[in-house]
Formats: sequence, C-alpha cells, structure tokens
Amino acid sequence: MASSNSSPKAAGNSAPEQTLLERIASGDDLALAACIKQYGGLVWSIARRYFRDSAEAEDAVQEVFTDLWRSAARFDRNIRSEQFFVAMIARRRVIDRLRQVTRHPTEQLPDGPLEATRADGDPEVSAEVAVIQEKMNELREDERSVLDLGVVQGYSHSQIAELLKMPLGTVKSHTRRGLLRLQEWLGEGPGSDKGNQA
Amino acid sequence: MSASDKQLDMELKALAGELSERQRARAGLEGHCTLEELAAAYDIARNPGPYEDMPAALETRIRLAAALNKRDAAAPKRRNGEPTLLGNLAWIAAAAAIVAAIAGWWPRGGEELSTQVAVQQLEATAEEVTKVALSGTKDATVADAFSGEVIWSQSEQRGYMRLAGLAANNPETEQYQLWIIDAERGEYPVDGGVFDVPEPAGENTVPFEAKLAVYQPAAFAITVEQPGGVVVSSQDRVAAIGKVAAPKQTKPEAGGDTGA
Repeated sequence: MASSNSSPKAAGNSAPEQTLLERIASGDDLALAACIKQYGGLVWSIARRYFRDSAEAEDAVQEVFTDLWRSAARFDRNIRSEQFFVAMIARRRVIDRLRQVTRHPTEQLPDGPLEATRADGDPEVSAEVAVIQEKMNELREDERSVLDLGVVQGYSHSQIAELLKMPLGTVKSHTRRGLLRLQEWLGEGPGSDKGNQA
Repeated sequence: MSASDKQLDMELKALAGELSERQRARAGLEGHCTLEELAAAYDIARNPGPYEDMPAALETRIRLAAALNKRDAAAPKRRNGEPTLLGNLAWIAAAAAIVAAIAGWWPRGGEELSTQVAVQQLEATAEEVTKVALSGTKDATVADAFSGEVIWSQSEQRGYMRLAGLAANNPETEQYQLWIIDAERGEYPVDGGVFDVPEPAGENTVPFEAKLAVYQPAAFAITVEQPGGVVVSSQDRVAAIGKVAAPKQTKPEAGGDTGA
C-alpha cells in the first residue's frame, strides 16, 4: 500500500484555505486524524530509514506527531510548504532519538545511487522539490556525497569524516555550503527573512 | 567567526542532533532552523515517495495519544493550575483502560520477560539460531576461566551473549564492544553494540542486535574500546573471538553497508 504524497492544503471541507497544521493550531480535532493520514507515510518512511527495529521506529513516529501537535502554531505557510515543515520536525525527532540509542545512525545504506523521482501532488510542493532535483547535479560531488550520507542516510559528521577519509571541518563546510545552495535555488539568498524563519 | 557564522554553526549542530532541546531553545534556533528545513527539503527531493503507509496499529496509537493529551489538558485543575491527584489518577486509569483495550501493540511483547526467558524464547522461536563458542584472549580483562557463547538469530538479526570470566569494566574509561564479522561484507565488521560487565563479574547474559544487516556471519569478536565504542576498531584489544562453524546463507531483505 502506498499513501498519497500530495499536499494537504486543500484537505478538509470546513476551512479549505487553512492547512492541516493551521487547523490543528486553531484547535480543529478533525485535522489531527487528517494530518496523521496525510503525513503518516512520510514520517514513517523517515523513521524506518533510520531504525530497522520497527518498535523503535514506531516510538519515534509517535514522538514526531506529539511534537507536531505542539509545534503546529509555529508553522508559517509563507516560509515553506507544510510537507517540508513536517519532514523537518520528523527528522529532528528521529535523529534526536537515534543519538540517544545508538552511535550508528543508519542501518541500511543503498547499494547504488539514490534515484530521485518526481513527486506527484501539490504543484507548489512539486515545484520546490523539482527545483532541487533539477539542480542537484550542480552540487559538487563531495558536497552531494556528504549531504547524502548526512541528510539522507543519517550519519553523523564524525562518521562521515571517517567513511570519506575527510577532515571533520571539511564535512561540516560541505554540508553547510550544500544546504545554502539549496536555499539559493529556492529563491532565498543567505540572510533573507524568508530563509531564516521556521 | 562572525555572528552569522556562529548562527550557522549552531544550526549545523542542531541538524546533526548534537544539541539538546534546552540548548536548541537557548540558542534561539526554534525561530531560525534554516539548515534543518533545507535538509528536510533535500531529504524529500531524494526520497519523494510514494511512501509506505504506517502500520494501522501505530496510527491508532497516535490518534489515541492525541485524544488523551487533549483530554488531559482539559482535566480538572487546582487553583494554582496543577492537575489534582484525583484528576491525574482518573486520567491515568482512563488511559490505561483504553490502552489495554487495544491489543497487539501495547505493551510490546517480550519487554517484561527476564533475560533468561528471552534467550530461551529466541532459541525456541527464531527460525535460525546459531551458537558460537567464544575463546578468551590474553587481554587483561579476560580471566583464565573465561567462557563465552554467542546465540545469534540470523532471521531476527539479534542475539545474546553468555559471558563468564570477563572483568567488570568502568564505563567511564572503557567499554566492551561486540563485532560481527560478515563474510559477505569483507573488510569491515558490523557493530553489535557496546556493553558493560558490572560488578561482581560473574556470569552475564547480554542482549545485542546488529546495527547493520548481517548476511553471512563468520565470526564474533569482543573488543575493549573507549566509552561509547568506536565506528572503526583498531582491534588493539580483542578480549574474545569465536568463529561460526557453519555459515548461514540466508540474506536479509534490505541492503546495507558497514560503518565499522
């Protein structure tokens, strides 16, 4: 079974102009279940990527949603899509939990290069994702390797340094530079207000 | 380092999970999490879906927790704003009753079993269980009367160690670390986790699980490492090692890689 990857911005009949997190922040109970339905697959996929143990993954997912209810009021649709906000909270909670239980953050590294496919769904979200996907090749190879290991596969900076035989400072600067280039692609130069809020 | 660089450095630490909630708040990152958000965007671009649904039982559990939290927030309060003891007990009882009504996911099976029972259960229920005798080395931590055994389930990718004659360690200065040598992976052994031997150092049963998929376990080794263990062992201090007599051929579904 596969869940939808579309944005929930049009979900719900009571307040179609509000996103799910905005509805949750305003106390709409129905939005809780809709949010779990909408983003459960995304959050679950992040947790499963980091935890092979399904019980750990389940506990992590529950923590993510608890944090989402708490953080819903901080979501601002003018800054970034709801999907990115949910993914950010999910990654933060999962990584925090992972650091608590193991020094080895990833258990399943892909054998070959990751295939980035175009997501279906909300045009705005797809546009943001597509921009990154289209420009991915503009990243330097070492920047991309560091981002894939650190962001996608969850290795810590020191582990990446060991794996790639690279100084720790270089790993950090590649990570920072690579992500700031994403910021430029998304139309937010360093220091812009839009890019510095969440 | 400029203020902007310091801010980015803190964001980088937050991104790597190196900051606690308190440190994150103190650094004012809750309103400035650019790198974390960009990392999330990169993650989605690399893994755009479609995604597998989460288990239905988990969805129920989260919905229930949300409902209980909401009810808890509406529970009777004391004048000073603290929930009453009676109120707390009532909500705890209500939560317990609802939780108990949902079978199959809470509590998770095996959590309350003793280690010995859990070992027996693993031996009885796992599809493939391999027992490997460990031999002690001349490391200072190993007594002459050392005996050790690894019980490994290939299908569940976890197991137990039974150890006797291994010195109690001071976790502040060193810890034991288990490694699983995988014939298919070659050079780098898979991390089996760190563990301590408490005083008195009698017989200990230690659970462990492979941190990466193990395809064909060829040997198990215990090293003495710095607190928290290492990603790559220098193998300067090997306390015990045991070779698998008959390697299993079963391959787990997921691919993987080592970090050791």
